[in-house]
Amino acid sequence: MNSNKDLEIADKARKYWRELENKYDLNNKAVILIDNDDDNVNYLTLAYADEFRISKNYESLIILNANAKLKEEFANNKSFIFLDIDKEKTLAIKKLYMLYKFTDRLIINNYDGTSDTDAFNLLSDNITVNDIVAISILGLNKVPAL
Amino acid sequence: MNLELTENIEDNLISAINSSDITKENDIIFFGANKSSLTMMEILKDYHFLAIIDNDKRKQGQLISGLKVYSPDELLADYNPNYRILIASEYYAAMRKQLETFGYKEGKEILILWHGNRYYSIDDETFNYHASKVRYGEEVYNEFRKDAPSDFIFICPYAGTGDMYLVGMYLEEYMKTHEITGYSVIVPNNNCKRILGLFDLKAISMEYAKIECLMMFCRMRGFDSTHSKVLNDGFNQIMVKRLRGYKNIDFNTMFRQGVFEIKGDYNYIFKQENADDIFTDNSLRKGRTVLLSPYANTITKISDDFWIKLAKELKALDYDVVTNVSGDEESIEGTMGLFVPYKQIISFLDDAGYFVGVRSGLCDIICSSRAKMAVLYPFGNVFGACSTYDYFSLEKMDLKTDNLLEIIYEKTDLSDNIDNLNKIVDFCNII
Repeated sequence: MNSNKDLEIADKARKYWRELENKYDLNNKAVILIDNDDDNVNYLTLAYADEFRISKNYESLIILNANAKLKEEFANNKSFIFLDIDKEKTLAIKKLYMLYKFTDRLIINNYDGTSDTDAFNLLSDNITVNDIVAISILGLNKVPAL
Repeated sequence: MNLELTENIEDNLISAINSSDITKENDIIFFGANKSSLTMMEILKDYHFLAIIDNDKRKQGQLISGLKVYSPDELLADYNPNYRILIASEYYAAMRKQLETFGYKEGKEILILWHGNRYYSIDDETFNYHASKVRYGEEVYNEFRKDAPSDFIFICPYAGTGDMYLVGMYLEEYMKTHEITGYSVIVPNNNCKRILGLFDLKAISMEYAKIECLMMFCRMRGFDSTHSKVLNDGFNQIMVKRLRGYKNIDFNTMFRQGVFEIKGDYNYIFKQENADDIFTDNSLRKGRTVLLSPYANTITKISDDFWIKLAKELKALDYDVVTNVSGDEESIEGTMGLFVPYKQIISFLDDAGYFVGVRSGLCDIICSSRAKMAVLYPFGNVFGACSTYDYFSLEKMDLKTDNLLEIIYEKTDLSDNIDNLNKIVDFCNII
């Protein structure tokens, strides 16, 4: 086992993040990394993202790695800035976020590395995917109506 | 202060208490005459506060919550290893550096409970600080692997009694489902070991600083590739923690379903030893003994006056009243202090007949007892989306439904709790 490689990868993310900060001025924006295998989770993340943006007073959101279908579905939302980054950068950002929560401006829509427990385990008749995405991932107070 | 910040401070303080980084023997100094320090004072109510230090000359000399504000030079010039200097500030790095000039060290006398917004940084200092923890975690991991090369490692970062009870209750089922045979459970103190021992689970005690680094390493390497898992419902996991109390998700559900992936009901009753010796040795009567439990790590203590009056009234009704104590805890005036080992606590209560206590982890352990239990919950939104009661109610968790009285108190003074006291006395006295 050797942690040096992981730390090197995480270290690279600092450069990528600085690039994002410099190019998009993250003072009034947040970044959402679409990174879930479940299309429905990815859809709901964007469906509720505007509510999240309003609740935090962000001017706009940078959406990383949304697939073509999502981009099309949310094309009319002018507060979304869609960006694609390659696998290497995606992994680096995730590794850095695993190392420590280096920013309060990043949402990753899965629990792989962002948390030690997978909140999707709590799905039940009572707790839906909508609840998990809105309350847990985006930190909203309630599930927005769609 | 926002809830997230308060919870962060609270989580970290509780960890520090549980891992004995702060004890009641320490002299506590708060760095910063600010709201964070006031929050810490609220949580550490029963500890010994020495002073506040602040570099702002305008604040020096003032009294805040009864504590005098000093300059760091004035108070810290003579090194004292008994000091615990608590920091919850975005200027933590500069504060730490300043304290280090007096010989104080982080993790020993200096405890950083919150890093503030500067935590949100990708500068070299912050990155290297965390990277060094991962590297140390790797050393801990490799050292550990020498003795346990193929064990699955379960890491329990938080020493809450109730948390440990739920770990004990569900771990075996989790291992069965995941076909785990060899395992090691790492816990932050010996009390955790004792609780897991009730479930015939062996655990290894490790200081929290090491556990934290080990966890960071396993997280970075991946829990699958390190054959490890963290067993907690929300420790340093803000996203998961947000679901506490949401739509009635209680403490038990967070562990059973969230951490251990167990759907549906599952119960484990651990073996108990006979407690006759405790009754004989202490001249207590079976069926007429009330165990008071006024202490909990995370809950504001109800005033002694309340407990003294309650004990007096119960004794007047011919009950033997004892206080459950461990370590340096004191018995309630007019009662005898009694330490009941976990391996006998349920048997003891089955025979004693009565328990009155604040909602602590002990309540999880004893909830399968036949005793009448009166449990007190503080009012307020303490746990995520709901109150302490909604999150920890034994009845809501289905851990105990019969012989149970659950009371929510808003204030801690006796005068505000006379009705509650009467309810408890009536509850105990109705056969």
